[in-house]
Amino acid sequence: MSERLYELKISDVDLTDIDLADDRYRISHSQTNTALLAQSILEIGLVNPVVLLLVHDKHIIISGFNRVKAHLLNKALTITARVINPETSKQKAIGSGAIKSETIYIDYLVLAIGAACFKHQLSQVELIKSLIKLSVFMDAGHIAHKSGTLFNTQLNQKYIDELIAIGQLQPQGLALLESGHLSIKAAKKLSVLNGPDVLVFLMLLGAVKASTSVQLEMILYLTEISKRDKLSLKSVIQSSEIETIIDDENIDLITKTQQVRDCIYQLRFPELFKARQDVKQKINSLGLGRAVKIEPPPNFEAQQFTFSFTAKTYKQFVRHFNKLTTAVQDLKLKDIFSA
Amino acid sequence: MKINRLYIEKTIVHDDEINYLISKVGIDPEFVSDATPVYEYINAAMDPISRAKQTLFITNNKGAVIRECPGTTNYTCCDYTILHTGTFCTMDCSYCILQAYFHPPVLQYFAGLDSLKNVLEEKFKLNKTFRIGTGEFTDSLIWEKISLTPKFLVETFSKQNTSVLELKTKTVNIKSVLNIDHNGKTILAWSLNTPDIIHSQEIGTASLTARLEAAKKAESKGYRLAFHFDPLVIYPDCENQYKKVIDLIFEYVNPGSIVWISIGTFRFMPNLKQVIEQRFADSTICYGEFILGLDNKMRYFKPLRIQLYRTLVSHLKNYAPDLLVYFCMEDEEVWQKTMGFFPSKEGELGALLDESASKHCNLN
Ligand code: SF4
Repeated sequence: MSERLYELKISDVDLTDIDLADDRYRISHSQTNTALLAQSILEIGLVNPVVLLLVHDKHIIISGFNRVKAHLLNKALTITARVINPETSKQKAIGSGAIKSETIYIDYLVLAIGAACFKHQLSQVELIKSLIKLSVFMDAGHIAHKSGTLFNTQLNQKYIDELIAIGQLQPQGLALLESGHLSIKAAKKLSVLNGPDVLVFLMLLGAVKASTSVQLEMILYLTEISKRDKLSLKSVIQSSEIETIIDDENIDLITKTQQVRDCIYQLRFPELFKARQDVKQKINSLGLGRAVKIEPPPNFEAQQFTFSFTAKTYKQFVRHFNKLTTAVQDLKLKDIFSA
Repeated sequence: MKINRLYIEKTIVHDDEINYLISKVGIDPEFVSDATPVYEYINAAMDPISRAKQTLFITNNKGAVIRECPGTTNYTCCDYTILHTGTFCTMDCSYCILQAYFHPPVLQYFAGLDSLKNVLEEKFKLNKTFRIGTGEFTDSLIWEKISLTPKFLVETFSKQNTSVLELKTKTVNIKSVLNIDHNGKTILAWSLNTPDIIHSQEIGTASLTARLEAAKKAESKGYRLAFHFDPLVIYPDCENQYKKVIDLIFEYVNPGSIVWISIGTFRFMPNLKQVIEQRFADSTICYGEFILGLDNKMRYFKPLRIQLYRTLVSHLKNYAPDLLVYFCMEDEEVWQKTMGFFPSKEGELGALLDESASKHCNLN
């Protein structure tokens, strides 16, 4: 790839001559506001021509999918493009001794990646998509070696391998990565699981909106429950409340996520969950309000409970203190200690 | 696992002990100046732990030959004394802490019966009761078939009256010590578990009935016995299964021969989980309700431990009300709720064990 195998010629191309369905070189699916872009093009013109490849009598887009869309929105008839003519490129490839069609394809791909990098720093999904396309022709070691030139940043082979493995989660996995439902760390965990399990997790994580640590917790606990109970993941989900919670359209996403998380925790640690709920209920029933806090020992391993309150004034102090004094008479408080 | 590679440190003197060992292993030894080639060989394997179990390294003990069990704060310790005769093990229990304890684990046999003798004689001179065991970093009897050490230790202890030797095992390797004069100063101890756990988690160990047969044989030769229910694993129907193991103990041996029985549920350093998952893909042993204990080890949620302990202790006491049953590494709440008392003072549990040892083994 040291020498470019294609030539670019600036020309105005009829929009009807562009095959919009062919997205083999598409790297970026960024949510560009096409209307805004169209407006900007109307006002200041097209600053950066799109890159097209002439294939038979049609053009396919290498770089500039959104700009073509914006032109269509503006009802323009043509677009300024840098067009690659495969015939002259082929001649050049033959001249350089690189006549394999994939060698030329890689060059176009590099061009598409370069154009995407030029616009903005690639998102992780864009990076994954680029790596998957490149991995057809190069191994991870080779990509790592060329990464500085390709991506404007140095990537190591292990990271590339991991991202390519994550790329196998597509299309649902990449869609969830893009929408923020799936983190890279969680995707990495999923990338080593078997196909049916991956689908179950993608369905689950797509239905909630959890932080990275909660996603990892859900994956870990559900995997362990499935191993412990010798049930498929699908059966674990189906035979529990999780499915009902997911299907409930009347609960908001935050509540749904919390309920699913609790449900998984309860399945993984039934006795611990029950003990926590019991103590919580007993503490609540004391009616101490928010000001006076009772913290049970973590996981009930130690025996010390912590009682605390803060007071800004003497009056407040007396009020909280009296609440606690009243609670001393309550048998439920004694009960907490013998739980 | 069978030994298929033997390394010997060059400086080791080839006395009767070592010549006997080499002849029994039956493999040409490779002489090395230090442990580096052994580590390199083990670490080069895809599964260093499995390779380590098949690679014997005869070496000198570079560390302490004898030392007190470190114990931990927050959980009551039994004040045991550890005699180092080697490290690691040829058997392959999924839960074995030694897999994660050494980096890499090396199957070391510490040469030098004299050094063992010297440290023991120093201890005996103190005229104090010591309970000394070799089963903390290895199984006490894995080398019995090919080594003179067990016989040597039993004979050494037989000549004094202040301390006891506990040989703790999951094997039935007692032939070389069966017919010698032990003078009641050696306790032969077996770790016990349910047949389910032995079959699924204790790979390469003797079956439950084989262990109890061996215990019975030892008892017939006047040996004092001990049993260790450690680790207890919580799984469906485990309470009944453990009760059946207890029933079986008393079918085989008399309560009066048992010096003590310890019980402790499965606990592990968090990094062992990954090892178990990698090496024992079918094992579900780490998927119980574990929480991080106060000693930074994973332990079962306390009410679950207490429930299982209560069942076992009351079943044991039905058979042998006077039998000393104790917990390995448990706290006050567990003791109180299970046994109705807590050896709270420093050394109190140790004193109880010493007392039982004195009674059963006729110590001064
Ligand atoms: S017998 Fe003991 S030392 Fe050997 S593998 Fe099992 S737990 Fe580890």
